[in-house]
Amino acid sequence: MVLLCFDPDERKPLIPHPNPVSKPPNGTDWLTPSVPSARTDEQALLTSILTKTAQNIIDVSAADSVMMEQHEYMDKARQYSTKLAVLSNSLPQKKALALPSLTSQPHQVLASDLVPYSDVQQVISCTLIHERDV
Amino acid sequence: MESTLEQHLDDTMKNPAVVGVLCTDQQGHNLGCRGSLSDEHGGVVSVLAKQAAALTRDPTDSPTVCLESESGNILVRTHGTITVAVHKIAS
Repeated sequence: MVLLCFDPDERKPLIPHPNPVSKPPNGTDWLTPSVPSARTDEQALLTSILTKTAQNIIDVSAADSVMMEQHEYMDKARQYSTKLAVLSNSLPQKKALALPSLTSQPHQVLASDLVPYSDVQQVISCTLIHERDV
Repeated sequence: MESTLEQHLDDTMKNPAVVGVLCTDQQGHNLGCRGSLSDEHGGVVSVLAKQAAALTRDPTDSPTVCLESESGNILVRTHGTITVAVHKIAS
């Protein structure tokens, strides 16, 4: 208890006594160590938020330097459409594939007799045979 | 296996009314074909069969698709994993 300093003549202890009962008159001082630590935590949190934000930001300020002039843009557009036209002309124009012997006169087909059932049976048996082969 | 299929395709073509036959898998890959039906029709044939099957409510009933035209019919039928198209001219 030699560190107790109720006597104003005594010097302030370097290490505050942990016991609140023996808290000195200017005892608020001994609470201060926790305050800087809280401030450090806050600071660290703020720094981490700042870092994260900085990482998520896409800096587009540099994009201004590559801005195209109006005529440049028009030139490029023209160039691309010319190239596209050349390419589409050189590509083989593949026609939509049609099954053979489709009719141009559907009314004749609709007016004709029904598909013979023997034909249907034929394709059924054909399918069965081919399915076994595969 | 393959030669058997080829043999059966030839047998189907022996019918004088048949002018084309094609056998395709579910993806439209051609497994074999003769006459008027060629390699490139595999996709159309398999899709036709698939779409027709989607129209029927009974999953066990496989429909026969028949494309009628003045010069003949193309009949498309699926069984299991294969689809067969037979092109028959009007007799």
